[in-house]
Amino acid sequence: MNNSKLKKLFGEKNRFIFFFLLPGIVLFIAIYAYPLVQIFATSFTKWNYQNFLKPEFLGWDNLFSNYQKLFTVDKNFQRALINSIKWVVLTMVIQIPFTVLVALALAKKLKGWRLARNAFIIPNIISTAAIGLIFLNLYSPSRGIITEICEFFVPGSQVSVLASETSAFWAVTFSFILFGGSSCLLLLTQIFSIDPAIYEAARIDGASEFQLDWNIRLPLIRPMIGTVSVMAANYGLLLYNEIALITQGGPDNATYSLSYYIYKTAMGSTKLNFARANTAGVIQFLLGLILVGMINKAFRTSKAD
Amino acid sequence: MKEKNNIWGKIYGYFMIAIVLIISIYPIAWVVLSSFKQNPGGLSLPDKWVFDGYITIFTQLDIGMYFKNSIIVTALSTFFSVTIVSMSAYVSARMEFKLKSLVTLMFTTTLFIPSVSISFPIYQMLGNLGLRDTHAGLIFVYSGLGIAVTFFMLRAYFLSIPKEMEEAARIDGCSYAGAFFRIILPISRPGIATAAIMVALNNWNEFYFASILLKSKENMTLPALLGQFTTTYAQNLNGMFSAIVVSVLPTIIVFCLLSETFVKSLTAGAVKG
Amino acid sequence: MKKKVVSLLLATAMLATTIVGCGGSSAPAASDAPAEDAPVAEAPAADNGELPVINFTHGYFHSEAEWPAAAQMREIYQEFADMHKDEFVFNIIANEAGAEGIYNTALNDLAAGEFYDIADFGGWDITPVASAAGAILDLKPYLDEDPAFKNGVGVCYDQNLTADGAIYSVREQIEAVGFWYNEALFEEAGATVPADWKTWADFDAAVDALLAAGIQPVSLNAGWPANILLAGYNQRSADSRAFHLAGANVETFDTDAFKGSIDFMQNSVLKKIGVANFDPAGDSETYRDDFFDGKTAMLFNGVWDAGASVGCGAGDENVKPAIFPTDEPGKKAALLSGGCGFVVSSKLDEAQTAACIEFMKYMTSPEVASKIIAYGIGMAPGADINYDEVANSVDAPEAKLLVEACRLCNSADYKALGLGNAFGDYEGEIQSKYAGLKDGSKTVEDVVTELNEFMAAAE
Repeated sequence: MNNSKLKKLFGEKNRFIFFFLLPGIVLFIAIYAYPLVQIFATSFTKWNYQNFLKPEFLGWDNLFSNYQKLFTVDKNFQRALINSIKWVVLTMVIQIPFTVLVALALAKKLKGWRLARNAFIIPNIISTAAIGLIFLNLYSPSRGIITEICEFFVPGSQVSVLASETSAFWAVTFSFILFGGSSCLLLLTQIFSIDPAIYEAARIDGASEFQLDWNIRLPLIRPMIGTVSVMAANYGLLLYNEIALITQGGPDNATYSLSYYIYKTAMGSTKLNFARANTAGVIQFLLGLILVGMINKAFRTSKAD
Repeated sequence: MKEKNNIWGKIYGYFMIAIVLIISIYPIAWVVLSSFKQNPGGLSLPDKWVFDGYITIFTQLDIGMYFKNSIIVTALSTFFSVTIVSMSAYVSARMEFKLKSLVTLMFTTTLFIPSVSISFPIYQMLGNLGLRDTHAGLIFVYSGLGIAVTFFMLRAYFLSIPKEMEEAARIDGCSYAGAFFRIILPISRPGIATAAIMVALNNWNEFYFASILLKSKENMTLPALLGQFTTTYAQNLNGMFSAIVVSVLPTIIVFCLLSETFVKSLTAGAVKG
Repeated sequence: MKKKVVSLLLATAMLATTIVGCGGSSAPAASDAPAEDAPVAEAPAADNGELPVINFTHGYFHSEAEWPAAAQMREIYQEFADMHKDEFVFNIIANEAGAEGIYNTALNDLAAGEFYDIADFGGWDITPVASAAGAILDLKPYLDEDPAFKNGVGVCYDQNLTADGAIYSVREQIEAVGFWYNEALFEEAGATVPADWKTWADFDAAVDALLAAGIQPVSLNAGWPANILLAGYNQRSADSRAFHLAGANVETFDTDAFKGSIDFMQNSVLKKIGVANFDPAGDSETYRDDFFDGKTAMLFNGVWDAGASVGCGAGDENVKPAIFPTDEPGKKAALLSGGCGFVVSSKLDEAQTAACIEFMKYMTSPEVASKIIAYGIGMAPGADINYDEVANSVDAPEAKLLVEACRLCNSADYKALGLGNAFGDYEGEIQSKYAGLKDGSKTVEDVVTELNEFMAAAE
């Protein structure tokens, strides 16, 4: 009995699992484990430029004082939190459906689909520095095209996209939300791996293309939609470059995101308030986990997991 | 009935293709046009074609060195990252074992750790290992950055492969590892290639860690080129865009070439499936 | 099969790496023993083992074609190294990520208990954190014992003097900021040119005259140029100058001086200029293009922009430098910010430290200062600079213009820090209010309240 259990433990399967997981786990420990612990631990400390080498524990009485400040007095954090949640929701509502529609359309292999697929990935290939500059220019009242277009419809409207808080928020949103090229690629790969025999049967039964999409392709790529949703939501939650390049959090800090807040508070300030930044990091982290849990639940199929 | 249906389907299809082309081509077209303009802006053709940025890049700067470094770092880190993560993702997708949910959770958590927070410990670790200012150090870091995204992608892909394939191999006397390398990897080529492209793109454009970990000019990677055109006092947009074009065009070309290979490997996989 | 072998090898390598790595990464939290041998390990191997070795890092990595000033700076450094090659080895290292990269690396270095031997931080202020960590050298004793050195660093001496009476950084160049104007446009509008302004009332009159003639007085963005104007206006009265001087240490923004400045920005500037002349993005360069294209009459930017006048659409001969008026008739003000430049490690031995001091003395000497101005790199802080001599030594019109602008700034009755150097983090908060002030969604009171809230949140 004992013997067989031992044998099982060191059996081929377990050895395989162990050796296959090992490199990944090693990488995780080397690069992420220590920071992860540090972020949590230092969110209960005072840690800024005055004591950069030695974070000081806040003491049990003030344990949550960093958290308290974020939610009571720190307006920039509160704005950042709300914005980041909005951006996550928007990726789910705009980017994912749009990308899925594109993938289903391209999968019909109409003329030019290959060009469109390759083109769609370009905005994801170009460095965000370039994307940021492009949109900065588009929105610029003197050189951009938005102001000009508005002027055409409403003469004298003098729209300045980045000057108002609402329009600046949407300006940032549209600098990334339609660029689902890599997600589209993943979905396409998945659609093409569907066994053609499945369609043929349905086609013979007289199913329309729309029915094929809705009843066959969509359910079959559901796990992949879940995966790209996680990636997209993650992008929305961590949004940083577009903000740093296009609005710098403005106007009046209306376009702060959590990542931008974290960067500003830690590295972008002479105070180097790492404790506060890491506290925001903990909140971002927890928010992310909840999000992944929710998405996984929504896209779980009976087959997977 | 069926014909009519087809027409609407085609109109819809072409409509989507047109939209995708417009939103995707505009940025790159703008960058390319701007790289020839003295003052980038608008989508008109340049009044006067300016080649200053390109001239600087190809005559004054050691562009070959930047490219060589970027290729070495990107290729190796992508290879390591994808190999390691695909092994873990496969185990997590297929095997039942005790700590499975913990392992999956562990990879998930890496999605949400701000890079500001990981830079200090990594810098210190590489210093202790003597890997600062080396390609090996940067490759090591890049191999681990973004493992979560790769993990999810590959895991989803492995989940979609019918289990029967390995079972058949196992019955034929294959070991688990053998089944993975001989059966799963070849079938998953499209998925793995897609993941590899994503990883490679990120690593190709990454600059924060490169700027901190690499100190000598001889080791520097391509994104540093942009800095040439941003001085303390002014930006040279024309030059910056030339640098962007120079760093991006090869990636686009390689991608377009590779994407054809995908399609081939795809059809190869489909016949078997 | 090959793949399997590779991955197993890799796994082993990674494991070994991690074990060593973990051993190392637990060290910083626990011990405060700085890794003093690290810089030596990093230093390029010195052939002459006898001589002390100093590694100097700077951000002037740009190619000569792209930014000639960078090549000239490297040349100035190299001359020093050559001059002293028998006494010490002075390694000059260009950081390809520029001053920001040097700053980021320094933070990482500090966290690992290390620091550069000596580096030029190019305005990125590392001194608060590095001095609190005890990593950097107080330069004040060296400045006090050598009057020539003290003269050479000029305004940096007072500006960089901390509350504890230490000076952690000096710089060979300063940001000298007044503004530029297009004389032809002023004449076209029949407005008084800035050179003849007595008080800020003349500014208002000129703006109105320009607008009446259909000329946009200025383009701004929600950052640098608007901040220059605000800082310039802050120098108008004794109260206001005191507020500006307190800067980041002010206890409240609810003062008449500050409210007056914001009111000026809103009603005398932002609301008067066109929508296309205000770019809410903080790093857009449109405001410069507009001026040099001849579309706007004034440009709020530093002396270094003299170089951009060459062959510009506004006409080279029309571009003139000016400094700010005050509310005291005839008195003028300019912004001269030293900021963070050379910073030296406190862990160097005596010979290395002496070499670093020697280097800073060299960089702030009148000879190098003249070169810095003559080459068009920027303005030097030194008190002993003979501007007539420098003006005679240059031929190019843009170089003469730069010398003229520097001389003008140096002649100001009141010299103050720029907004960022004075107000630290508040600079970013202040500039984020401009858009609201322009479109009227924000009042002066709102700005004061919000800045006070930010102050409360930061502590």
